[in-house]
This record gives sequence, structure tokens and C-alpha cells, in this order.
Amino acid sequence: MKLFGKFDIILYLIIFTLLFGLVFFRNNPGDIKVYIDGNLYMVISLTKDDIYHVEDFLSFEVNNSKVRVIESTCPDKLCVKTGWINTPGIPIVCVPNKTMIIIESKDSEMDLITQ
Amino acid sequence: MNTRKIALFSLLIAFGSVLYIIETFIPFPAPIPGGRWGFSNITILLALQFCNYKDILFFSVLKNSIGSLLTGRFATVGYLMGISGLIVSSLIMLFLFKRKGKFGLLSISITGAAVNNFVQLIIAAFLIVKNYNVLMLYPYYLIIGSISAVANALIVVFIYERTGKEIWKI
Repeated sequence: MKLFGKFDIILYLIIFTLLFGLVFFRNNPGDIKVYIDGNLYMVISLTKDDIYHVEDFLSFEVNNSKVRVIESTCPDKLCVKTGWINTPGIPIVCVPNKTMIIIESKDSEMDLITQ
Repeated sequence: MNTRKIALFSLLIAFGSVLYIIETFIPFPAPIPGGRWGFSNITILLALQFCNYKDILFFSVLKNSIGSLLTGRFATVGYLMGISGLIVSSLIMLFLFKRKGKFGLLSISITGAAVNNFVQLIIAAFLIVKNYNVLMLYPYYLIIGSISAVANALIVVFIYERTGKEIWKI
């Protein structure tokens, strides 16, 4: 049982490339999209400040180009604790309700894949 | 399976399940779905020394199932994510461990955590939320997972130093 080995550096390099590759992959914000169980539920403009409801189990607020979940029926309330998001690509996920709120990137090819 | 192996297995599974429960009491800094520290993987690292591939599969399934039965997460989406991540990561950790002396325990532990989180997110992206954008959360998982992975590796080395080699031989 040794803490260090000869070829450790290979593993560290792979992990750090993954980390920095994903961190610097960002785009301009576009519309807000809400998905339930993988299906697009609604599309909202990021500039319209209001409170919106998803079915009867979740409600979220848009304010000053940021989004947050106000209320949800899930037990852990992780989606509420996520707080405000304004970065495209980083979603608010509510696993028990199978719901995802995301700010889409304006000119990304992701739109072709996510249907 | 000899008696010694059964005893070691049950000891580590019990230890792992208790750690799994205690883990839920520790506050998790980032509010991300399915997020947990992963301290119960100390037992996986300890089990690497006397397990073959079949044993480690058996071990990781039992550890996670008993732990989640006791915490009331059994057969939820979180359980599905956790168990698939644990199976893949423990197999990869054992593969790295079997390459004698080439990889240290610290790097094996960190790789295990990274693979575990990656498989969990893949499961979430393809089966649960059905959207690839969830994968963008990976850096957060990776940073927090690495912290606990370093702690796990240090704890295991300390345990191994205190107990000596004889206990872990079959």
C-alpha cells in the first residue's frame, strides 16, 4: 500500500485535461428552456422578469437575466438550494421531478442534439 | 470462499454501510443532485487488496444496496446512479491496483472518484433527465469528489500502517 506510484502523472493529466476542457467551454446566454423527462416543456426569454409555474410541482423566477427555483415538491429541495444561475450550460436539475431548467447557449451546436 | 474471506467481507460491508449512513449527516457544500461525499469508498480501497474482479463486483453491489436500504434510498434514481457509478469505478480501481506498484493509492482513489461521478452523470443524462447539458456539471463533481478521494486514500494508508499486512491476507 503506497500512496505514490511511478505512473501516477498519467492519471492526473487525464483528469485535469477533462476538468479544464469543460470549465472553459462556455457560450453566450440565449433563451431559458424547461425540460420534463427529456421533453421540451417551455421556452422563455431571459429578459422577461416574472414568476413561472411548471405543472403544479415547481415554480421558478426570472429576474435580471438570472433564474432560480422558488418552490418545488421534491424532498431534498436541491433545486431550490442551487440558487440563481446565469451561466449557459449549467442547469438547475430536479431529479425527483425529472425537470431541468437551463439557459441555452445562443450559437451552440448543442441545440441540434438536445431535442 | 473460505471462512477468513467471509469474515473480512462482512466486516468491510458492515463498515461501509455504516459509513454510508453517517455520510448523509455531513452537509454537502454544493447543491447538486445526487451529491454525496463518498467516504464509504474507504472500504472499497481496503477491499482492493484481497479481491479479484468477481469479488469486487459482489462487494460494491452489496455495500451500496445495504447502505441504501438502511437510508431509505433503495430503488430510487439516486440509487441507480450510485450503484452504476460504483460498479464501474471499483472495477477500474482494481484494474489499476493489479498493475503492481505502477500506480499509487492516491491516484487510484482520485481516478475512482472521477470515474464514479462521470458514470453517474452519464446515467443521469441518458436515462433520467435525458439531456446532454447535465454533463456540464461535471467540474463541480470532480472538484468535490477529489477532496474526499484524497482524504480516503490517506485514511486507508493510515489504517494499513496500524493494522499491518497479516489481517488483509487470505
